[in-house]
Amino acid sequence: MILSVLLALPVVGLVIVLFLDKERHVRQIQGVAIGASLAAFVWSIFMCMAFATEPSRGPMAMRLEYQAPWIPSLGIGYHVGVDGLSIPLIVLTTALSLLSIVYSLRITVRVKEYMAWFLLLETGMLGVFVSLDFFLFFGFWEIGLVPMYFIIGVWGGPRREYAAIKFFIYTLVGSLPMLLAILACYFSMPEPTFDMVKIMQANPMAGAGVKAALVFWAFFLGFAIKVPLWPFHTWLPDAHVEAPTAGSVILAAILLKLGTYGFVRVILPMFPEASARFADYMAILALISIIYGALCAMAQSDLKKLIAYSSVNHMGFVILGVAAVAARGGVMASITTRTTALNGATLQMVTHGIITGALFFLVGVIYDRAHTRNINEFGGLAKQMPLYAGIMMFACFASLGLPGLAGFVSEFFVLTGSFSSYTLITCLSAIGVIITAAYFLWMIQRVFLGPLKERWADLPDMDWGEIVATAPLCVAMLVIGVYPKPLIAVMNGPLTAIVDHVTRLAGLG
Amino acid sequence: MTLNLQPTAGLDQFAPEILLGVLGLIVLGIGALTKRRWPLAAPVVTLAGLFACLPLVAMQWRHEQSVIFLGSYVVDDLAVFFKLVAVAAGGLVTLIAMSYMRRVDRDYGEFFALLVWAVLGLCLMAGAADLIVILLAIETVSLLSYVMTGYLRNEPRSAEASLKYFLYGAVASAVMIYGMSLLYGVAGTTKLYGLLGSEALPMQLRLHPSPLQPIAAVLILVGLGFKIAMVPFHWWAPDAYEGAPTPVTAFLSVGPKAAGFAILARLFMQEGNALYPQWPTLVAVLAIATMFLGNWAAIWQGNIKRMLAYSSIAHAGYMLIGVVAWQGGAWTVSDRGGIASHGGLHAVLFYIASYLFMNLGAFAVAIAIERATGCESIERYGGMAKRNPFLAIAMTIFLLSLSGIPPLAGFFGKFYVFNAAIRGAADDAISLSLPFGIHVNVLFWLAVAGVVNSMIAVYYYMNVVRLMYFQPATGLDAEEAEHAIVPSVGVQSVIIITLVATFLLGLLPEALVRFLAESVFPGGLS
Repeated sequence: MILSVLLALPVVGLVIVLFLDKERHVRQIQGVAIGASLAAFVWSIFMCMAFATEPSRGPMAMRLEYQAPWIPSLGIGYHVGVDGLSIPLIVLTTALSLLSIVYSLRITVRVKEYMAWFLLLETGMLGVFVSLDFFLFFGFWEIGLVPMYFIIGVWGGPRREYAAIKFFIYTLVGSLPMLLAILACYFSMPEPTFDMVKIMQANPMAGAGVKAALVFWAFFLGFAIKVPLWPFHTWLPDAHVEAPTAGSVILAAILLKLGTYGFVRVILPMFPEASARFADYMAILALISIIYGALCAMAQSDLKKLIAYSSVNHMGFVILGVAAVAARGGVMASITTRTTALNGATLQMVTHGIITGALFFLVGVIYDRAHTRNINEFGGLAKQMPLYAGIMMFACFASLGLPGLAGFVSEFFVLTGSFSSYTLITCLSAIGVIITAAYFLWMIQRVFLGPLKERWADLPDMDWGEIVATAPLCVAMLVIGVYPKPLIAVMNGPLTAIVDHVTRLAGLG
Repeated sequence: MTLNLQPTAGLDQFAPEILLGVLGLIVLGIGALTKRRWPLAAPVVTLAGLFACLPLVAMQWRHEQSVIFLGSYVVDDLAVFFKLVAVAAGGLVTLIAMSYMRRVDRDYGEFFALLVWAVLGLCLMAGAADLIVILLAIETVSLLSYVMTGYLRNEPRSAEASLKYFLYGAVASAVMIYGMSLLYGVAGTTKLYGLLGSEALPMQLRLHPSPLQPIAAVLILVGLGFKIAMVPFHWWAPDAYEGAPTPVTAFLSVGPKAAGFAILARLFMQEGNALYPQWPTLVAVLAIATMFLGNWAAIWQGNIKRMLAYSSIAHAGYMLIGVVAWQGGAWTVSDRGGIASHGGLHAVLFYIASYLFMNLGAFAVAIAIERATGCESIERYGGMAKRNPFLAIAMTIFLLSLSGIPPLAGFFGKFYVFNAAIRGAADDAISLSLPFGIHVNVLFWLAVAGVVNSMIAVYYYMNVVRLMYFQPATGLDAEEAEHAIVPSVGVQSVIIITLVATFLLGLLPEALVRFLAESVFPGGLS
């Protein structure tokens, strides 16, 4: 029931918002939105405590489960539950939704609709992370699509309509094959059921048939577009550039994680053999994403595009870690190294969410003041906005993987874990880390260092709302960077179980 | 099954039809008396009458079959379902037409009388159990449809539509009558349910198979295909839909189509497919053609009514999947242990119920927009999200449901239909052997075609959504573009009713499915 309440809290806020007058009650609308997202955040902390106190019933078992029949004639049920994989992502979602809504208080156009879409978006994202029934999973997956479409399309930049449509079409093109793949799993089960746990246990796509390959690639496409993995990434820069700040934050921090979460929750455990068969392709695509994303980021003069491409780069590491789990080759690969890789990949989802969320907030801060994001137009801002420069550099360092900050831990885990499975690919992808350091440092140099340009002489530093939105994220970067153990302890159990499951079913050493 | 040899026995079970017949006369009288002084009198009486008819029909839902009037008319759950659909469609169309038809230059009450009688015709189609009664019922509906299509007689488009519809319809009917006469020649009876069993048409056909059967079956399919707008007998639909007054278009796209499926079910869904054992393969091919042609043509339409016309052709194709797979996909209604043995048939019924609401909803929005802009062009949907956000969001939901996005009614309609086909395909229930040793699992490919088509359809439905939300209003000056659109009360209530139904059938499909599963259809079909 705890999870159902969590899903319901934003919806309750949404319903209240819908009943408020869009012109007279702007303050109340904002208040309700903040209240609902704050309630969801507090409730998610409470959920963590309940999760910790509930005894575990085995490594792969879900906790806080709730199950009820919904459409029994088709085997569709309402089944929710969490494990160590989804818990951090849920907290990340509620936290960033809260921060985004706080940051969005500066939105003045069509506030009511904006807040309503945002709350719906939050429920959609949370729903994906807690669903244990494919039908529910897909429903929430689609629900997340619609609000983002409108957030980009209505409150976005000059080319918002193009970006919104592109985002929508790409994701829809990805989700339709996924729906078909879900149906293929459903129809391959001995009894009609959409229950993800049951499907995972029954492993209906066992063997090396064409059907298993098709289903694997259909799921792969759906998730890879969301991640986004090269070559399906072209919607991302457009969507990010045009989306309003809070939309970019949610897009980068959470929506991309829906894709990578799908890789860990669906692709690995449900199609272990197919994953092993196609792991090499995944690793190569991940490598291309890492290098290509980094190079593209280096070429950008738009700050937002730079960070968008850095997401492509960082998400590549997640997929590399996933591929390393199922890799057939690799003499030295053992369950331990595979688990390290998967731990790194999952940790990378969380840290990337925190770091890139903060970065997009910070880009929003400068854009609101300067009305430009062109890196070459800035210069010497460190003198004018010391606090902003400090926080921005801190976040950039976290992103480029400075030891002691969050980004380092996860990338280090991925690289160490993958090394045994894919030695060459891992070595090559380490180049991506170097390029990442280069473009972030170069960007810092061009924006913050050097002489202050005349036209920026009266830019104010960050205000309280902006500090409130970014400071918690910076604290989290430092804490995870210095002491990642508690987070890893939560995730390690289910991830080890997934690795066990995959290696056993796919016959890996 | 109860039988009674008294000609008048079972008159009480004919009460809804009698009520409808009388209601039509009353409405006609009221319309003539009140003229244009109280324009609301006729539609309000129509609504009241149809509303009174609903419980009368619903009371017949008794899980038993009674054949009345010497075996020519049947009252069973299948008939009741289609009668409910007909009456509901009639009621919703009355609400839509209330203000729309006022622009007609003559007595406006008689339109509603025609509508009521058309509903009566649909009910007769649902219950007809004799070839002759089937024919008469179809003709009743057809003639009334022709008149309603041409109701705006001063508009050339309307008259042209009516004439085209009539010419096509007349030919289709003639062909069907010829098929029926062949069937009579083979079986020696016109009755689907014989008084003593052995006399019945299906039994006769099983006992004395004849080479004429395929010809007769195909000819009858022509007539029914015309009613449900199945390719290649769909040519009338876009023109008739475009020219007819839009409420009539809405009615044509659900009423006669549903009733056509009622007769298709009664005639063809026989144990061992007695009428013509190969009909599922034939209909499967036609279903695939129907889906592809409907969706493909819909992409290119610039007129909302023509687009919905082609989309309704495509939807007939999806429903035909369920017809072909009528025996497939038995499902258990778990907690009560009931088993619905004919999954495909139930899926078609669910599809029809969901289609009734989502399609009428889409038409209601189209009418509201047409009344405001005076134009049926899809381009005029630009900027609709600003001019009336409620209409825009309602249209979006109907179109999403029509394209089959979960969790709306349309998705489950498709899902149940595809489910039946794939469960049937697992048993290779219908297979086709082609030359060169090619073996085709018909149901599997039917399901694949259905899925591919659902994806094609997303494109043209979402195009309308794109226009409504992301394009500025075209062809209007700034003041007009800001001008809000206010739909009439009738249209607004239809939109709300259909929205609620679209969501309910999507979120709780089990309610209707269980209801269907607990009723006994196959009794009359075996």
